[in-house]
Amino acid sequence: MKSNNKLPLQQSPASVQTTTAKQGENPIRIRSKRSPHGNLLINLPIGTRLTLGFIAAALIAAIVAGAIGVQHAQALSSQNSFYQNLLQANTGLNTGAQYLELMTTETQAITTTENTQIPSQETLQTDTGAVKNLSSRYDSLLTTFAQTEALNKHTDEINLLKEGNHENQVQQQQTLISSTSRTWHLYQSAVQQFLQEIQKGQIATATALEKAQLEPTNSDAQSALRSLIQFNVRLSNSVSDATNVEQKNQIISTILWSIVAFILIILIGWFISGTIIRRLQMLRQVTMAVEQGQLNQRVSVIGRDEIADVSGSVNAMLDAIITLVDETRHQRDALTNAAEHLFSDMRIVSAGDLRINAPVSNDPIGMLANAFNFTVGRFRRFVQRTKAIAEQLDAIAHREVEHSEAFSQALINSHLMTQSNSEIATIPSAREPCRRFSGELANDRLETQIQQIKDYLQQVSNTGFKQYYQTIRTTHEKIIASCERISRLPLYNGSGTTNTIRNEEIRIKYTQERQTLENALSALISETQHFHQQTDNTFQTVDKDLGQLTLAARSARAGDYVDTATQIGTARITREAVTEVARLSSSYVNDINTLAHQLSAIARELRTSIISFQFDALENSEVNPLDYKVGNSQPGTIGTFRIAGEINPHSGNTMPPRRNAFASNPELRP
Amino acid sequence: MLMCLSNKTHKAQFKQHTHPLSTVLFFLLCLLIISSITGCTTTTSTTSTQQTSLNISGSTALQPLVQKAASTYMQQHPGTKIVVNGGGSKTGLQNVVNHASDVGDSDIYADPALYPDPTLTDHIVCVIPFAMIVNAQINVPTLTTQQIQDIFGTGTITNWSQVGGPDLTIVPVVRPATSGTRDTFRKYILGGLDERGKLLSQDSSTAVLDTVAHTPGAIGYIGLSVMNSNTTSGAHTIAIDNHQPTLQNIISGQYNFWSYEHMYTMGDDTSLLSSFLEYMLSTQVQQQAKNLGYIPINEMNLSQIVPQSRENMPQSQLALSLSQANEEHTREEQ
Repeated sequence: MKSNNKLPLQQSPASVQTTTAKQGENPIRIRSKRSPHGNLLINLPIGTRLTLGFIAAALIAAIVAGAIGVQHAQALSSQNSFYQNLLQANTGLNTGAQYLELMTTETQAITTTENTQIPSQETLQTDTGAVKNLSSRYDSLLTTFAQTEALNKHTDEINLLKEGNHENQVQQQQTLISSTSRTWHLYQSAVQQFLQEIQKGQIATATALEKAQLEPTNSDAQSALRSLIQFNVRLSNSVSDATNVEQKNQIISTILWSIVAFILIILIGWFISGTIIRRLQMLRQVTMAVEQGQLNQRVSVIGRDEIADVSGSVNAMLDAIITLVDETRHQRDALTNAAEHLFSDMRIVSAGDLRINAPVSNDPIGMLANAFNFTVGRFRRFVQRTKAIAEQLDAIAHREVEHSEAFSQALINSHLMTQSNSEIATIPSAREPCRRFSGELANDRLETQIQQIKDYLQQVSNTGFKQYYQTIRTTHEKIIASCERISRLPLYNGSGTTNTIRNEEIRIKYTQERQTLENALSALISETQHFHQQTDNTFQTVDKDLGQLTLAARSARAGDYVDTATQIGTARITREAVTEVARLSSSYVNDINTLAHQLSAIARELRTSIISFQFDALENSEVNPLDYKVGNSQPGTIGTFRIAGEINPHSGNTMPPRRNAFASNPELRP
Repeated sequence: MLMCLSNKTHKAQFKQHTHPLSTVLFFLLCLLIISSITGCTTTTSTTSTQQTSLNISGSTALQPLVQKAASTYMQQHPGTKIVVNGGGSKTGLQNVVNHASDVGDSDIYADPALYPDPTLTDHIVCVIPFAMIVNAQINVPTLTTQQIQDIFGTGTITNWSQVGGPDLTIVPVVRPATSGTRDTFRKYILGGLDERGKLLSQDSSTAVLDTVAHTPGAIGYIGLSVMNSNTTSGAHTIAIDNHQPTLQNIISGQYNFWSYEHMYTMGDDTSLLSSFLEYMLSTQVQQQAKNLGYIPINEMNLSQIVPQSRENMPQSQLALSLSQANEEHTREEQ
């Protein structure tokens, strides 16, 4: 993942430009492949395009259905009219057949009337008129049929028969019509001849003619007419044949039209989906390439529809993502730098230099540095204060040692003097051995007491102070060791992503060290308290001894007063030494007193400073490290922050060239 | 969409799947459409019993043509057998009505009174012109209708000298009553008169020809086709009213001694029958007919016959024939 991401970044700017140039060729190639009409379609929104497609498909379907329907209706209507014509014609022809029969009966009636004894002229007249009328009616009927109702006068009917492959029936009907008319004319002429004969009154000839010619020709005419009627009836079969053929044609044409419509609709659908799907696939390819890490892939934007919009926004999104990735990388590098700085600072601290001030920035490392600075500052102040107290104590101890030495010197001097005095006194005045003894005893006691006080003081100065100082020093060493341990924390190895984890580790270590420091401090406090109590006890014992000493000195002075008379010279010297000792001891006691007060004050100060340090440390541990922004208001941190801000652009210059090129390339920016 | 659902995981295979699937869908749809359309219209086709033989009898005038047509038809359609017999028009009609024959050739119309069966169907095949033939010795070029009527019907003319020929007794050859040609002759030439003369025992056109050729002073009538197919030199045709039996004269109505050749059937619902009847009307057979001396049916143009036949009528007949208006019109002309 990481290596994939880095791959395009390692490309030189030139290669990036060539890839963009290649991408620039793509839309041109596709545009040239497409017709201008296609471009026009692409410019329409998808909804409109789909609507157009559906309207076109619906139009095609409607046209096809309409065409088929119209064809069917036409076929039906032509069949209908054909059947109607046939019915009319056959009705007329049947009437004609009746006429022919009626004519036969009329001619027979005429002959029977003629053959009667007295022919009725009126009946004859009526019958002759009827025959003539029938003849003319049949003639006109036949003419009408031949001229208007025959097949060859109706082109649509001929077409219909042609469809049924029966076009020879037109000729057949013509033949039948001509045969009908031929037989009719023969019969007609026979009838006329017959009537002529009747008019002439030649009844025998007329009767012979009626039998020999009229009846056969009439039967011929009827036969021919019957054939014609039969033929017309058979025509209906032909029409049904034609209808079948037409139905087959219609089926074929329906199938053809539906296939054509289907293909057309599919073509329209394919065309419209082609305007959508191809570019969607291109978009998908680009997104898949980006998914696999090729961040320099871009969609070529064609047309002005929704897909073009989406493609454009995808391009913009990719640009934004690339800038975001770059920014993250910047930040990571900056953090790495800051962490490295901080660790070098910590190393310096571990070396013992507490004056360090780590650069503070606005990132977590900066906050950590701020906290580190704060802690180290507090430690520095605490160590300085402790050092000052130790020096003070040192000075006091020195002074007290000098005082005690001076005091002990004075005591030794006074002791030497009293010894010589007692030697002098024992020689001249042996009479007061008990007083001497008592004086000697008191001196001894005093001496031992002074020796005891001296021991005490030496104990205080040597063991107590030394011990106390030693303890402080060990505590100090412990603090320094913990600081060292802080600095000896695992070094930051430059990998950016685990920053926060490392920060967490550092924080944990730091708190551990702080715990150690707190422990050391509490030990120090307890030690100081213990020492204070010890010194208090010692001073109390010293005070008590001094009080005894004073009492002893007073009693000794009272005893001396008794001996003054006898021993004035020696007594004066002894008194001088004793007063000297008393003066020294009182000043020494005063000194010790003040020293004790000073020590207790120092101890109090130390305690308060420790307590205040502890209190501050407690407060700091409670405060969230991220809320260190308050510390930014301090002038020192602002300064360091400013320095850090100056460092950051400097570290920015050390960025890889690829990123610089990318940032300076305005064309790739959204 | 289905493909999208099924191949969501196979992104790479997506494109390859598109083509075959869509084509399969396309054909399925086409099949669906076609089957649905054809399923709607199930046409019931009746399969008639296959007839392999035809029996034709009747007119001897039509016999040569039918014979030839049958032989060529049998060549073209192996497995079929067509038997053509003569016997005369009326015999043919009788055979058809009695179902003895499938087709009855006839020169005459079937009288509805004699053959009332409504299934008796008339198929007019061609036109046969008839001609008057005389023995070779007779050199009379033409006879009028009246002269023929006098020779055959009234018997007032008995010698060729009466009509401008040699002094020879006229021997009219009369055909038997079954002859269709005789009927036509009576109706169109004799005007319904009975014939008198030498009656032949057998109705055959060739018999007439032979008789006329071998009888001095004989006169007869015969189908022109028989005349053309037989090259006997003993007889020759003569014109009627100065009109030779040609197509032009027949169409113009000036030569009236001709007849339609009918082939009567009892319906024509068998495939072989209708096929053969259609074959009779084909150009091939019609051309054959023309070669044999018949007139192809397509060359007969009726529209010219109707008015001209009227013109040909005698004036007195014309006056009676048409309607009152026509009568007045003709009277004004007179």
